[in-house]
Formats: sequence, structure tokens, C-alpha cells
Amino acid sequence: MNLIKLEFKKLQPTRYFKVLTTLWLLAFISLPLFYYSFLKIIEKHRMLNTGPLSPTNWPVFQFSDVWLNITYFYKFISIFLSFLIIITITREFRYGTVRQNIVDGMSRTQFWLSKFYLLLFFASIATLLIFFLGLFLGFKNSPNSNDIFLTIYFVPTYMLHLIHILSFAFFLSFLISSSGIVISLMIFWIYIIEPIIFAVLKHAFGYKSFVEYLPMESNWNLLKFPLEKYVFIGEKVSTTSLEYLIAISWILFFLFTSFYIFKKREL
Amino acid sequence: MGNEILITNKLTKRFKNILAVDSLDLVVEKGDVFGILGPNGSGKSTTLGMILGVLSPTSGDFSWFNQGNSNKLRKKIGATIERPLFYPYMSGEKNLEITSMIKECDKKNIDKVLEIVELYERKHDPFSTYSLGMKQRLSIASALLSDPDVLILDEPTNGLDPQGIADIRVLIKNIAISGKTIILASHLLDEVQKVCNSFCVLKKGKLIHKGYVSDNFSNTTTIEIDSNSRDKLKKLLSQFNMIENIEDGEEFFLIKASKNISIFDLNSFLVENGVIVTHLNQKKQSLEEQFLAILAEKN
Repeated sequence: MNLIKLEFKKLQPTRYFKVLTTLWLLAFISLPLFYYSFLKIIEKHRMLNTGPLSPTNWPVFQFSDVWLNITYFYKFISIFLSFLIIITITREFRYGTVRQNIVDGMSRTQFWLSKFYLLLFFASIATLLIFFLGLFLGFKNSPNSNDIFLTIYFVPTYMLHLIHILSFAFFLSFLISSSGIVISLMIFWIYIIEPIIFAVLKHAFGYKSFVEYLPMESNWNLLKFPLEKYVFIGEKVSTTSLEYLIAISWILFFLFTSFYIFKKREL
Repeated sequence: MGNEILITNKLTKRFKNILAVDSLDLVVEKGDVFGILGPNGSGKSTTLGMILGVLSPTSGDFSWFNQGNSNKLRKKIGATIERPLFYPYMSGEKNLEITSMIKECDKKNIDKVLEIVELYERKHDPFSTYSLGMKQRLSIASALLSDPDVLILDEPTNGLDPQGIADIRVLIKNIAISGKTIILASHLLDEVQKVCNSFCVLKKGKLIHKGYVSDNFSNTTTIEIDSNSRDKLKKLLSQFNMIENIEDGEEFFLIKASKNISIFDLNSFLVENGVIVTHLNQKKQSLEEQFLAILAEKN
């Protein structure tokens, strides 16, 4: 059975799907435009527009800085992509079609795998788009074609970030199976619960607070805020091995737990 | 050996405090039209859920075609469960394409099964626009899609209007004639009687009876009888030794007799004694009466 072909067949453009994909694509296209209009405003008002440290002089979209800059800013829209995953999984539970699929002869492993392939597909598409966007912006803004792929590893790191946040959505969808609750819970976790835990840990333990082990913090740490390095020369923005390790551990946790939950689940 | 389609062995399912299915032993043989009969909540759907892989048994096991219970075996079974479950945003045809991909069967069958259930004209319309009867028919179409040897139907006429019910029963009968094994779960006795040849009765998860629909397993039978000379008839009937009770009806006598009574002997006896009957009818006891009798017995 061709699982990915089956998923594509199920992925007919429903209203949900169209709205979310459009939102994501709009956000995708408009992010660089935002940056350009931000620069325009700065130029106009001559704010911060002083000397070599002025943002208008930052090589934000030049090779090879373009990779770390766009991958950082594009992680803000990853959540739209995770909504797509949530909806494609939870609607199988809502319509009861997961039961019918199993009754018709799919194994639970096959069903889980078909959704996992979809996750990889979404992550790959978004990564490819980022790659092409990086090339486009880079060639458009770079004075020369040196160092095009010097920091290209930010692109696979971006893909890892996507797989991480999509796996979180994937895990919650198999755990709770109601799109409304999963989406609210996800937003709630990212913007409220984890920041509270973060603050409490920081307050209690100070420097050695282990906050980097929190799931979304580990996701966030994969791609660090890049613009500081234009102000504080020498600031490091690369990802450490430990940070990769923590993020990958969370991905494995989300995937294996969702698999286990689905295997055990009464449908 | 070899003819069993399904064997369950002490199949048990417990939900928290409820024993939904209790040590169920069933054998369904090739060619059976097997009814699983029971009031709502008796464990019919739970049993089907287990043998179709959506619920895991608490204990006991089951085997399809004497080969165990892998998902590959389910591809050889056509099954509908409880209510029709399809992707509402897709057309009937597209939904069946998904079924055919999962069952790994030929897409060419789609038009054929849609014609059988008379949905061919609506095949491009989204499932969400179908009436309940059409949805039920689509789920029968999807069960038929892989031309399976076994068909499982869970309450296939639930929520249908009388015409829809009649249509589906004709459909099931035609499928049965083609030699397929059918397992039909229903709380409608009359449905099982009209469609099935053997059946079992579940109550609170327990198997309380299994047998053939044609078996008359009550000890008495009811006969309607009338003649122009009613007094003489009544007198003669009271002399016939297998008759237990005579009730004076407006149009005829309603007599309760041993189930071994021979209508031929009774009629001969009356004729020999000079009574010609104008009405004689042995009532077949409906499954409903038998069913209520069984339920009452086991209480």
C-alpha cells in the first residue's frame, strides 16, 4: 500500500486546508516585505541610522548571513504549518474514518506512518521553500557570489525545528484528537505555560536553571536571534551539539509516545 | 475443519466496570447468513469492534479463516460499523477510491458497486450531501468493493425509512444468494428472521442462545381453526390429545398445541367425525416471540 499516495488522496483542498495554507503562504511571502518596510521607516525617520551599526547597513539578506536570518524569522510562522498537521490528524478521529480505515484493513502502524510521512512532507516543502527564498534574496542582495553555502547548515537546522514543532502538534493530536482543544493547548503551552515554567526555573535556579531542556525552549534554541551579532561583534549564533541533542530527544519522545498511544487506543 | 470463517474463543471485553462481552464462543461457517441479535447495549458492536481490530479484547481471542487476526485478513472482509464513516468533503466515488487503496483492490469495481446500491448517479456529489439512506448504501458499497467472501453489517437499516429498509434487505438477500458469508448485527428480530439462516442472541455480553432461524425451539405451536359448526368443532378439539388450550376468537378458535402436532392428523380426525373446516392455519412462531421467550427464560 502506498501510504503517502493515500494521504495525498485524503488531502483534498477543504476550506480549512485552503485557509491555513493561504495564511501560511501569505505569511511566508510577506516576511521579507516586512523587513524592507521596517528599513524604509528607519531611513525615513533617521532613527538609529547612525554610522556603520545602522540596520540599513546590516547584510541581512546577503550570503551567507541570509540563511541564519531567514531561518530565524521564519520559525515564527511554523505554527501555521503545525495547525495543518493537527487538522489532518484530528479530522480522522472526528469523522471516525480512522476506524473505517482500520476496519478496511490498515494496521495501526500503517495509519500512524501515513501521518508521519505527511509530517515529513510538510517539513520538506517548507524547507525547500526556505532554501529557494534564501537563494533568491541572497542573489538579489549580495554584492558577489562568494560564500553562498557557507552557513547552509541553518537550512537543515530549520527543517529539524519544523519537525520538532510538527511532532509536538502530532503528539497532541494523537493524544487528544480534537482540533479545537489541541490548537488551544498548543498555543497555551507555547505562550503561557512554558514561559511561566521558564520564569519559575530561572528565578529558582538562576544561571543553572535547565530551562534549555524545556520542549519549546529546546525548539527555539535551534535557531537563535541573529541580529545581535551586527551590534555585538563576535556574538555566537550557532547551535551547540547539546542543543541539537535535546531537540532530537524531544522529537523522538513526541513520535514514540504518539505511536504508543495510538497502538493502545480504543477507536 | 476448513469451513470456518470466524471462530471466537472466550472473547471478552471489559470497560472499566462493565463487562461488555463475556467469554463469547462463536463459530461462523462459510455460506452462513449469521445474525447477532440482542437489545441495545448487549455487546454486539463491541464484539464486531474486536473482531475488526478497532477494540482490543481484554482476554480471549479470535481467528479469521483459521489464520489468526492480522490486518491483512481484514482486507478480505467487507464491513460496515455502526454508522457510515466517510470523508464528508469528498465525493462518494473518491471515498471508495480510498477504500480501494486500503483494500488494495481494483478501482474498476467502484462503478459496479455504486450501481448495485443505486448511487451511481450521485457518485460525484460530496458525501456530506447524501441522505442517511444513501450514506448507509455507500457503506454497503464500500463493504462490497473488494468482492469479499465475508460481509459484516452492523445495524444496516438503522434510521432508514420503510422503503430504504426494504431495499437494503433485498440487497442483503441478493448478496447472500451469491454465496457470500454474511454476519449481521441487529436489534431488530424481524430483520434477522427475514435475512438470516442462523443466529445467536446476546444479552449483557453473554451468549444466551444460538441456533437456526428455521428451528422452532418453543414447545408449543399456535393454530387458527374455524368451521361452520363451531360447537361441534370445539367439542372435537377438546378430545384431540395434543391440544393444550382452546381460545374462542371472534373469527376462529385459537388453539395452543404441542409442537409435534400433525395438521394432517388433526384435519383427518375432524373430517372423520363430520366437521369440515373453513379456516386452518398453523402460525409460525415469530422470532420475536421466541426471542422474548429466551430472554424471559434466562432472566
